[in-house]
Amino acid sequence: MSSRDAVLGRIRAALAADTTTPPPIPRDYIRTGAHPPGSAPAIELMVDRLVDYKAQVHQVSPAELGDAIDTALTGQRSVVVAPDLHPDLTAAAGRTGRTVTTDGAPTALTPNQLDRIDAVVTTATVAIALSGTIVLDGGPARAAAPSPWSPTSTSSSCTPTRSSTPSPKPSTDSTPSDPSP
Amino acid sequence: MGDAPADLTDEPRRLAMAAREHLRRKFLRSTVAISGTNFGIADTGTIGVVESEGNGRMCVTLPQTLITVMGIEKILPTFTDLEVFLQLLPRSSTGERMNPYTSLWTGVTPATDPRTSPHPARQRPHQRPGRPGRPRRPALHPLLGLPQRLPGLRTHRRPRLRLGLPGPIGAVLTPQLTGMHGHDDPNSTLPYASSLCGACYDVCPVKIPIPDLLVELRGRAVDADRGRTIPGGWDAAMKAAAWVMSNPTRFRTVEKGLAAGRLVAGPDRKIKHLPFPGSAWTRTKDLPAPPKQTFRQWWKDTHPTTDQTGDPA
Repeated sequence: MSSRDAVLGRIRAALAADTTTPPPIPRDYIRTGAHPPGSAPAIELMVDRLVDYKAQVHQVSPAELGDAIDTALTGQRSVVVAPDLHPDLTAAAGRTGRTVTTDGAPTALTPNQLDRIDAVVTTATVAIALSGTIVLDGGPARAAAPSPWSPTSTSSSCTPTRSSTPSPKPSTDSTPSDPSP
Repeated sequence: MGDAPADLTDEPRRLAMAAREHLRRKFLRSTVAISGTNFGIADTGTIGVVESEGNGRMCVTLPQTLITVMGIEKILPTFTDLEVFLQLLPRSSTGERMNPYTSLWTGVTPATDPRTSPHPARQRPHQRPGRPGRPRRPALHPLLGLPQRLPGLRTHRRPRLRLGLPGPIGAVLTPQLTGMHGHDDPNSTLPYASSLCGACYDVCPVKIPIPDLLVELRGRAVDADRGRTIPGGWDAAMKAAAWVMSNPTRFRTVEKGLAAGRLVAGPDRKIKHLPFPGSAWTRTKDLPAPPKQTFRQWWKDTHPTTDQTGDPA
Protein backbone atom coordinates (compact mmCIF):
# COMPACT_ATOMS: atom_id res chain seq x y z
CA MET A 1 0.00 0.00 0.00
CA SER A 2 1.41 3.33 -0.99
CA SER A 3 1.56 6.27 1.36
CA ARG A 4 -1.05 7.96 -0.80
CA ASP A 5 -3.41 5.03 -0.33
CA ALA A 6 -2.76 5.04 3.39
CA VAL A 7 -3.47 8.75 3.75
CA LEU A 8 -6.59 8.72 1.59
CA GLY A 9 -7.77 5.50 3.25
CA ARG A 10 -7.61 7.08 6.68
CA ILE A 11 -9.49 10.14 5.48
CA ARG A 12 -12.21 8.02 3.85
CA ALA A 13 -12.53 5.87 6.95
CA ALA A 14 -12.84 8.93 9.16
CA LEU A 15 -15.44 10.46 6.87
CA ALA A 16 -17.40 7.21 6.70
CA ALA A 17 -17.39 6.92 10.48
CA ASP A 18 -18.80 10.41 10.89
CA THR A 19 -22.53 10.03 10.40
CA THR A 20 -23.57 13.36 11.87
CA THR A 21 -25.34 15.70 9.50
CA PRO A 22 -23.67 19.08 9.28
CA PRO A 23 -25.85 21.76 10.85
CA PRO A 24 -27.41 24.28 8.49
CA ILE A 25 -25.22 27.32 7.93
CA PRO A 26 -26.79 30.52 9.25
CA ARG A 27 -26.47 33.10 6.49
CA ASP A 28 -27.09 36.01 8.80
CA TYR A 29 -23.95 37.88 7.90
CA ILE A 30 -23.83 40.87 5.57
CA ARG A 31 -24.94 39.68 2.12
CA THR A 32 -26.31 42.84 0.54
CA GLY A 33 -25.37 46.45 0.89
CA ALA A 34 -27.54 49.04 2.54
CA HIS A 35 -27.56 51.24 -0.56
CA PRO A 36 -28.93 50.43 -4.03
CA PRO A 37 -26.38 49.94 -6.81
CA GLY A 38 -25.29 53.22 -8.32
CA SER A 39 -27.04 55.33 -5.67
CA ALA A 40 -25.38 58.45 -4.33
CA PRO A 41 -24.65 56.94 -0.89
CA ALA A 42 -23.07 53.88 -2.52
CA ILE A 43 -20.79 56.08 -4.62
CA GLU A 44 -19.94 58.23 -1.63
CA LEU A 45 -19.00 55.14 0.38
CA MET A 46 -16.89 53.77 -2.46
CA VAL A 47 -14.98 57.02 -2.83
CA ASP A 48 -14.50 57.23 0.92
CA ARG A 49 -12.95 53.78 0.98
CA LEU A 50 -10.71 54.43 -2.00
CA VAL A 51 -9.44 57.68 -0.53
CA ASP A 52 -8.84 55.87 2.75
CA TYR A 53 -6.61 53.46 0.82
CA LYS A 54 -4.70 56.44 -0.59
CA ALA A 55 -6.01 56.04 -4.12
CA GLN A 56 -6.56 59.19 -6.16
CA VAL A 57 -10.18 59.33 -7.16
CA HIS A 58 -11.61 61.57 -9.88
CA GLN A 59 -15.34 61.64 -10.45
CA VAL A 60 -15.96 62.70 -14.02
CA SER A 61 -18.64 62.65 -16.69
CA PRO A 62 -18.24 60.42 -19.76
CA ALA A 63 -17.17 63.47 -21.76
CA GLU A 64 -14.41 64.26 -19.27
CA LEU A 65 -13.08 60.71 -18.98
CA GLY A 66 -10.45 61.00 -21.72
CA ASP A 67 -8.95 64.11 -20.19
CA ALA A 68 -9.00 62.53 -16.75
CA ILE A 69 -7.07 59.51 -18.02
CA ASP A 70 -4.60 61.76 -19.80
CA THR A 71 -4.02 63.74 -16.61
CA ALA A 72 -3.68 60.62 -14.48
CA LEU A 73 -1.01 59.31 -16.85
CA THR A 74 1.12 62.45 -16.62
CA GLY A 75 4.75 61.46 -16.44
CA GLN A 76 4.19 57.93 -17.73
CA ARG A 77 5.75 57.10 -21.06
CA SER A 78 4.15 53.77 -21.89
CA VAL A 79 0.72 52.25 -21.29
CA VAL A 80 -0.70 48.78 -21.79
CA VAL A 81 -4.38 48.15 -22.51
CA ALA A 82 -6.63 45.18 -23.30
CA PRO A 83 -7.58 44.70 -26.96
CA ASP A 84 -11.22 45.46 -26.28
CA LEU A 85 -10.77 48.65 -24.31
CA HIS A 86 -13.00 51.39 -25.70
CA PRO A 87 -11.13 53.18 -28.52
CA ASP A 88 -11.70 56.58 -26.91
CA LEU A 89 -9.94 55.43 -23.78
CA THR A 90 -7.11 53.88 -25.74
CA ALA A 91 -6.74 57.14 -27.64
CA ALA A 92 -6.66 59.11 -24.39
CA ALA A 93 -3.96 56.80 -23.06
CA GLY A 94 -1.87 57.53 -26.15
CA ARG A 95 -2.01 61.31 -25.94
CA THR A 96 1.13 63.43 -25.67
CA GLY A 97 3.33 60.81 -27.26
CA ARG A 98 2.77 57.94 -24.86
CA THR A 99 3.30 54.49 -26.32
CA VAL A 100 0.20 52.33 -26.07
CA THR A 101 0.71 48.58 -26.28
CA THR A 102 -2.24 46.27 -26.70
CA ASP A 103 -1.77 43.04 -24.82
CA GLY A 104 -2.99 39.87 -26.46
CA ALA A 105 -3.30 41.34 -29.94
CA PRO A 106 -1.91 39.65 -31.85
CA THR A 107 -0.01 37.79 -29.13
CA ALA A 108 0.28 38.10 -25.40
CA LEU A 109 3.15 40.17 -24.14
CA THR A 110 5.92 38.36 -22.35
CA PRO A 111 6.54 39.14 -18.71
CA ASN A 112 9.67 41.06 -19.65
CA GLN A 113 7.81 43.16 -22.20
CA LEU A 114 5.14 43.95 -19.66
CA ASP A 115 7.73 44.78 -17.06
CA ARG A 116 9.02 47.67 -19.17
CA ILE A 117 5.63 49.34 -19.38
CA ASP A 118 4.88 52.14 -16.96
CA ALA A 119 1.11 52.12 -16.62
CA VAL A 120 -2.10 50.29 -17.36
CA VAL A 121 -5.57 51.56 -18.15
CA THR A 122 -8.33 49.15 -17.22
CA THR A 123 -12.01 49.13 -16.51
CA ALA A 124 -13.57 47.28 -13.62
CA THR A 125 -16.04 44.43 -13.72
CA VAL A 126 -17.66 45.57 -10.54
CA ALA A 127 -16.70 47.61 -7.53
CA ILE A 128 -17.76 46.99 -3.96
CA ALA A 129 -18.39 50.13 -1.97
CA LEU A 130 -18.53 48.56 1.47
CA SER A 131 -15.00 47.20 1.28
CA GLY A 132 -13.58 49.60 -1.31
CA THR A 133 -12.76 46.69 -3.58
CA ILE A 134 -12.28 46.81 -7.34
CA VAL A 135 -12.97 43.55 -9.14
CA LEU A 136 -11.54 42.53 -12.49
CA ASP A 137 -12.49 39.27 -14.10
CA GLY A 138 -11.23 37.35 -17.06
CA GLY A 139 -14.43 37.25 -19.08
CA PRO A 140 -13.74 38.11 -22.74
CA ALA A 141 -16.59 40.60 -22.81
CA ARG A 142 -14.96 42.71 -20.15
CA ALA A 143 -13.04 45.67 -21.26
CA ALA A 144 -10.59 45.09 -18.49
CA ALA A 145 -7.22 45.94 -19.83
CA PRO A 146 -4.36 43.72 -18.95
CA SER A 147 -7.06 41.56 -18.01
CA PRO A 148 -7.34 39.38 -15.17
CA TRP A 149 -4.79 37.19 -14.02
CA SER A 150 -4.60 34.85 -16.85
CA PRO A 151 -6.80 31.85 -16.21
CA THR A 152 -10.41 32.05 -17.09
CA SER A 153 -13.28 33.09 -14.92
CA THR A 154 -10.63 34.54 -12.81
CA SER A 155 -11.70 37.24 -10.53
CA SER A 156 -9.16 39.37 -8.88
CA SER A 157 -9.78 42.07 -6.45
CA CYS A 158 -7.62 44.66 -4.94
CA THR A 159 -8.34 47.53 -2.72
CA PRO A 160 -6.19 50.34 -4.01
CA THR A 161 -4.90 50.66 -7.53
CA ARG A 162 -2.02 52.78 -8.62
CA SER A 163 -2.83 56.39 -8.71
CA SER A 164 -2.17 56.42 -12.44
CA THR A 165 -4.95 53.94 -12.97
CA PRO A 166 -8.25 55.69 -12.84
CA SER A 167 -11.00 53.65 -11.35
CA PRO A 168 -14.11 54.91 -13.13
CA LYS A 169 -15.80 52.58 -15.52
CA PRO A 170 -15.70 53.43 -19.20
CA SER A 171 -18.39 55.41 -20.85
CA THR A 172 -19.40 52.37 -22.82
CA ASP A 173 -21.50 50.67 -20.22
CA SER A 174 -22.21 53.13 -17.49
CA THR A 175 -21.40 56.57 -16.38
CA PRO A 176 -17.80 56.77 -15.30
CA SER A 177 -18.57 58.06 -11.85
CA ASP A 178 -20.94 55.23 -11.19
CA PRO A 179 -19.24 52.48 -9.25
CA SER A 180 -21.56 49.64 -8.51
CA PRO A 181 -22.08 48.94 -4.87
CA MET B 1 23.84 38.03 -6.96
CA GLY B 2 25.69 39.46 -9.93
CA ASP B 3 23.13 42.18 -10.54
CA ALA B 4 23.71 43.84 -7.18
CA PRO B 5 24.14 47.59 -7.53
CA ALA B 6 27.79 48.64 -7.29
CA ASP B 7 26.99 51.19 -4.61
CA LEU B 8 25.03 48.77 -2.42
CA THR B 9 25.48 49.37 1.29
CA ASP B 10 24.42 47.36 4.29
CA GLU B 11 21.48 49.65 4.94
CA PRO B 12 18.50 47.31 5.40
CA ARG B 13 16.22 49.25 3.11
CA ARG B 14 18.71 49.28 0.24
CA LEU B 15 19.46 45.59 0.75
CA ALA B 16 15.75 44.84 0.58
CA MET B 17 15.32 46.90 -2.59
CA ALA B 18 18.27 45.15 -4.24
CA ALA B 19 16.89 41.76 -3.25
CA ARG B 20 13.53 42.69 -4.68
CA GLU B 21 14.97 43.71 -8.00
CA HIS B 22 16.99 40.51 -8.12
CA LEU B 23 14.03 38.32 -7.25
CA ARG B 24 11.78 40.19 -9.64
CA ARG B 25 14.06 39.24 -12.55
CA LYS B 26 13.85 35.64 -11.42
CA PHE B 27 10.06 35.75 -11.21
CA LEU B 28 9.82 37.21 -14.70
CA ARG B 29 11.96 34.40 -16.12
CA SER B 30 10.31 31.49 -14.32
CA THR B 31 8.11 29.15 -16.33
CA VAL B 32 6.65 27.13 -13.48
CA ALA B 33 5.09 28.33 -10.24
CA ILE B 34 4.38 26.16 -7.22
CA SER B 35 2.01 27.61 -4.70
CA GLY B 36 -0.29 26.73 -1.87
CA THR B 37 -3.80 28.04 -1.79
CA ASN B 38 -6.07 29.57 0.79
CA PHE B 39 -9.32 28.18 -0.54
CA GLY B 40 -10.42 25.48 -2.93
CA ILE B 41 -14.08 25.75 -3.90
CA ALA B 42 -15.56 22.39 -4.75
CA ASP B 43 -18.68 23.25 -6.75
CA THR B 44 -16.94 25.60 -9.17
CA GLY B 45 -13.45 24.13 -9.09
CA THR B 46 -12.04 27.51 -8.14
CA ILE B 47 -8.77 28.05 -6.33
CA GLY B 48 -8.09 31.20 -4.39
CA VAL B 49 -5.19 33.05 -2.85
CA VAL B 50 -5.59 35.95 -0.46
CA GLU B 51 -2.63 38.15 0.33
CA SER B 52 -1.61 41.62 1.37
CA GLU B 53 0.69 42.82 -1.37
CA GLY B 54 -0.12 41.26 -4.72
CA ASN B 55 3.30 39.66 -5.06
CA GLY B 56 1.81 36.19 -4.74
CA ARG B 57 -0.57 36.99 -7.55
CA MET B 58 2.32 38.08 -9.70
CA CYS B 59 4.33 34.97 -8.94
CA VAL B 60 1.57 32.48 -9.72
CA THR B 61 0.18 34.16 -12.83
CA LEU B 62 3.32 34.97 -14.83
CA PRO B 63 4.60 31.43 -15.36
CA GLN B 64 2.94 29.20 -17.92
CA THR B 65 2.45 26.32 -15.51
CA LEU B 66 0.97 26.63 -12.04
CA ILE B 67 1.17 23.77 -9.59
CA THR B 68 -1.10 24.23 -6.61
CA VAL B 69 -0.52 22.19 -3.49
CA MET B 70 -3.74 22.02 -1.54
CA GLY B 71 -4.75 20.14 1.57
CA ILE B 72 -8.32 18.95 1.96
CA GLU B 73 -8.75 21.34 4.87
CA LYS B 74 -8.77 24.19 2.33
CA ILE B 75 -11.87 22.96 0.55
CA LEU B 76 -15.14 24.86 0.75
CA PRO B 77 -18.25 23.09 -0.53
CA THR B 78 -19.74 25.97 -2.50
CA PHE B 79 -18.77 29.32 -3.91
CA THR B 80 -21.29 30.89 -1.53
CA ASP B 81 -19.23 29.69 1.39
CA LEU B 82 -16.33 31.81 0.23
CA GLU B 83 -18.19 34.94 1.26
CA VAL B 84 -18.17 33.75 4.85
CA PHE B 85 -14.42 33.42 4.89
CA LEU B 86 -13.74 36.60 2.97
CA GLN B 87 -15.68 38.46 5.66
CA LEU B 88 -14.12 36.56 8.55
CA LEU B 89 -10.51 36.39 7.53
CA PRO B 90 -9.42 40.04 7.26
CA ARG B 91 -11.37 41.13 10.31
CA SER B 92 -10.11 38.31 12.49
CA SER B 93 -6.51 38.53 11.37
CA THR B 94 -5.45 42.02 10.42
CA GLY B 95 -8.53 43.98 11.40
CA GLU B 96 -9.02 45.17 7.84
CA ARG B 97 -12.40 45.58 6.22
CA MET B 98 -11.34 43.47 3.24
CA ASN B 99 -8.35 41.42 2.25
CA PRO B 100 -6.18 43.64 0.03
CA TYR B 101 -5.48 41.24 -2.85
CA THR B 102 -7.84 38.36 -3.56
CA SER B 103 -7.18 36.17 -6.61
CA LEU B 104 -9.46 33.39 -7.80
CA TRP B 105 -8.93 31.21 -10.81
CA THR B 106 -11.05 28.53 -12.36
CA GLY B 107 -9.20 26.57 -14.99
CA VAL B 108 -7.76 27.72 -18.29
CA THR B 109 -9.49 28.00 -21.66
CA PRO B 110 -7.87 28.82 -24.99
CA ALA B 111 -9.14 32.38 -24.63
CA THR B 112 -7.48 32.86 -21.30
CA ASP B 113 -4.41 30.72 -21.66
CA PRO B 114 -1.46 32.61 -20.18
CA ARG B 115 0.55 31.77 -23.29
CA THR B 116 -1.84 33.51 -25.63
CA SER B 117 -3.98 35.89 -23.64
CA PRO B 118 -3.33 39.16 -21.90
CA HIS B 119 -1.35 39.16 -18.74
CA PRO B 120 -2.30 40.67 -15.46
CA ALA B 121 -1.36 44.15 -14.58
CA ARG B 122 1.75 44.24 -12.58
CA GLN B 123 3.22 46.74 -10.28
CA ARG B 124 6.82 47.42 -9.66
CA PRO B 125 7.65 46.77 -6.03
CA HIS B 126 8.43 50.40 -5.29
CA GLN B 127 5.17 51.49 -6.83
CA ARG B 128 2.99 49.30 -4.74
CA PRO B 129 0.46 51.35 -2.91
CA GLY B 130 1.49 51.73 0.66
CA ARG B 131 -0.92 51.45 3.48
CA PRO B 132 -0.71 53.56 6.57
CA GLY B 133 1.20 52.21 9.51
CA ARG B 134 2.32 49.02 7.85
CA PRO B 135 5.93 48.47 6.84
CA ARG B 136 6.41 47.12 3.36
CA ARG B 137 7.66 43.63 3.35
CA PRO B 138 10.14 41.88 1.09
CA ALA B 139 8.90 40.65 -2.24
CA LEU B 140 9.24 36.98 -1.45
CA HIS B 141 6.67 36.44 1.18
CA PRO B 142 5.36 33.00 1.97
CA LEU B 143 1.76 32.46 1.06
CA LEU B 144 0.97 31.49 4.59
CA GLY B 145 -1.24 34.41 5.26
CA LEU B 146 -3.06 33.35 8.34
CA PRO B 147 -0.34 32.29 10.75
CA GLN B 148 1.47 35.58 10.55
CA ARG B 149 -1.63 37.58 11.20
CA LEU B 150 -3.17 36.21 14.31
CA PRO B 151 -3.83 39.06 16.69
CA GLY B 152 -1.70 37.58 19.43
CA LEU B 153 1.52 38.20 17.65
CA ARG B 154 0.89 41.87 17.34
CA THR B 155 0.93 42.19 21.09
CA HIS B 156 3.59 39.67 22.02
CA ARG B 157 7.24 39.51 21.24
CA ARG B 158 7.62 37.18 18.30
CA PRO B 159 9.63 34.11 19.17
CA ARG B 160 12.39 33.15 16.78
CA LEU B 161 11.06 30.22 14.86
CA ARG B 162 12.93 28.20 12.33
CA LEU B 163 9.95 28.11 10.02
CA GLY B 164 9.19 31.76 10.44
CA LEU B 165 5.67 31.11 11.65
CA PRO B 166 5.20 33.38 14.63
CA GLY B 167 2.31 33.68 17.00
CA PRO B 168 0.11 31.03 18.55
CA ILE B 169 -0.28 29.04 15.35
CA GLY B 170 3.50 28.97 14.91
CA ALA B 171 3.87 27.60 18.42
CA VAL B 172 1.72 24.60 17.55
CA LEU B 173 2.70 24.14 13.90
CA THR B 174 6.45 24.51 14.11
CA PRO B 175 7.09 21.74 16.67
CA GLN B 176 4.86 19.40 14.67
CA LEU B 177 6.44 20.18 11.33
CA THR B 178 10.08 20.15 12.39
CA GLY B 179 9.90 18.01 15.53
CA MET B 180 11.10 18.79 19.03
CA HIS B 181 14.61 17.45 19.32
CA GLY B 182 15.38 17.34 22.98
CA HIS B 183 15.86 19.74 25.80
CA ASP B 184 18.09 22.23 24.01
CA ASP B 185 15.99 22.52 20.86
CA PRO B 186 14.22 25.91 20.84
CA ASN B 187 11.23 24.18 19.27
CA SER B 188 10.77 22.22 22.48
CA THR B 189 10.19 25.48 24.31
CA LEU B 190 7.51 26.77 21.93
CA PRO B 191 4.57 24.97 23.53
CA TYR B 192 5.48 26.74 26.78
CA ALA B 193 5.44 30.21 25.24
CA SER B 194 1.83 30.72 26.24
CA SER B 195 -0.09 31.41 29.40
CA LEU B 196 -2.88 29.15 28.04
CA CYS B 197 -5.32 31.95 28.73
CA GLY B 198 -7.31 30.92 25.68
CA ALA B 199 -7.44 34.36 24.01
CA CYS B 200 -6.15 32.89 20.75
CA TYR B 201 -9.01 30.39 20.77
CA ASP B 202 -11.53 33.10 21.57
CA VAL B 203 -10.62 35.17 18.53
CA CYS B 204 -10.14 32.27 16.12
CA PRO B 205 -13.02 32.27 13.62
CA VAL B 206 -12.49 28.61 12.78
CA LYS B 207 -11.95 27.61 16.42
CA ILE B 208 -8.56 25.96 16.23
CA PRO B 209 -8.09 24.56 19.77
CA ILE B 210 -4.61 26.03 20.20
CA PRO B 211 -4.50 25.76 24.02
CA ASP B 212 -5.36 22.03 23.80
CA LEU B 213 -2.70 21.52 21.16
CA LEU B 214 -0.13 23.34 23.30
CA VAL B 215 -0.90 21.13 26.27
CA GLU B 216 -0.59 18.04 24.09
CA LEU B 217 2.76 19.24 22.77
CA ARG B 218 3.97 20.01 26.29
CA GLY B 219 3.15 16.45 27.20
CA ARG B 220 5.14 15.18 24.24
CA ALA B 221 8.10 17.36 25.12
CA VAL B 222 8.09 16.09 28.70
CA ASP B 223 7.71 12.47 27.61
CA ALA B 224 10.57 12.79 25.17
CA ASP B 225 12.73 14.09 27.99
CA ARG B 226 12.01 11.30 30.47
CA GLY B 227 14.92 9.14 29.39
CA ARG B 228 17.54 11.60 30.51
CA THR B 229 19.90 10.08 33.04
CA ILE B 230 21.16 13.36 34.49
CA PRO B 231 18.26 15.26 36.03
CA GLY B 232 18.17 18.92 35.13
CA GLY B 233 17.14 21.86 37.27
CA TRP B 234 13.62 21.58 35.94
CA ASP B 235 13.20 18.03 37.23
CA ALA B 236 14.66 18.97 40.60
CA ALA B 237 12.37 21.97 40.94
CA MET B 238 9.30 19.94 39.98
CA LYS B 239 10.21 17.14 42.42
CA ALA B 240 10.75 19.65 45.21
CA ALA B 241 7.44 21.35 44.44
CA ALA B 242 5.65 18.01 44.41
CA TRP B 243 7.16 17.10 47.79
CA VAL B 244 6.03 20.39 49.30
CA MET B 245 2.62 20.57 47.72
CA SER B 246 1.58 16.98 48.50
CA ASN B 247 1.61 17.58 52.25
CA PRO B 248 -0.46 20.30 53.99
CA THR B 249 1.97 20.79 56.86
CA ARG B 250 4.93 21.18 54.56
CA PHE B 251 2.93 23.48 52.28
CA ARG B 252 1.87 25.70 55.20
CA THR B 253 5.42 25.93 56.50
CA VAL B 254 6.85 26.88 53.14
CA GLU B 255 4.04 29.36 52.57
CA LYS B 256 4.85 31.11 55.82
CA GLY B 257 8.53 31.04 55.00
CA LEU B 258 7.87 32.78 51.72
CA ALA B 259 6.64 35.83 53.62
CA ALA B 260 10.31 36.46 54.39
CA GLY B 261 10.59 37.40 50.72
CA ARG B 262 8.95 40.70 51.66
CA LEU B 263 12.13 41.65 53.47
CA VAL B 264 14.26 41.47 50.31
CA ALA B 265 11.73 43.26 48.16
CA GLY B 266 12.26 46.93 47.44
CA PRO B 267 9.80 49.69 48.29
CA ASP B 268 8.02 48.97 45.00
CA ARG B 269 7.23 45.48 46.32
CA LYS B 270 9.38 43.80 43.70
CA ILE B 271 12.28 41.41 44.18
CA LYS B 272 14.98 42.29 41.69
CA HIS B 273 17.92 40.10 42.70
CA LEU B 274 17.85 36.51 43.91
CA PRO B 275 20.76 34.14 44.47
CA PHE B 276 21.12 31.17 42.11
CA PRO B 277 18.97 29.42 40.96
CA GLY B 278 16.43 32.22 41.46
CA SER B 279 18.79 34.53 39.58
CA ALA B 280 17.81 32.75 36.36
CA TRP B 281 14.46 34.47 36.78
CA THR B 282 15.46 37.81 38.25
CA ARG B 283 18.16 38.36 35.64
CA THR B 284 15.41 39.22 33.15
CA LYS B 285 12.29 39.82 35.20
CA ASP B 286 11.21 41.13 38.56
CA LEU B 287 9.47 38.85 41.02
CA PRO B 288 6.50 40.30 42.88
CA ALA B 289 6.90 40.26 46.64
CA PRO B 290 4.74 37.69 48.46
CA PRO B 291 1.52 39.12 49.88
CA LYS B 292 1.25 40.08 53.55
CA GLN B 293 -1.24 37.30 54.16
CA THR B 294 -1.31 33.77 52.83
CA PHE B 295 -4.58 32.57 51.35
CA ARG B 296 -5.17 30.38 54.39
CA GLN B 297 -4.71 33.32 56.77
CA TRP B 298 -7.07 35.40 54.67
CA TRP B 299 -9.68 32.63 54.69
CA LYS B 300 -9.42 32.29 58.45
CA ASP B 301 -9.95 36.03 58.90
CA THR B 302 -12.86 36.33 56.50
CA HIS B 303 -14.65 33.05 57.26
CA PRO B 304 -14.40 32.70 61.05
CA THR B 305 -17.32 30.29 61.31
CA THR B 306 -16.29 27.85 58.59
CA ASP B 307 -14.35 24.68 59.10
CA GLN B 308 -10.81 25.78 59.75
CA THR B 309 -8.84 22.64 59.24
CA GLY B 310 -8.40 23.30 55.55
CA ASP B 311 -6.58 20.02 55.29
CA PRO B 312 -7.81 17.24 53.08
CA ALA B 313 -8.81 14.16 54.96
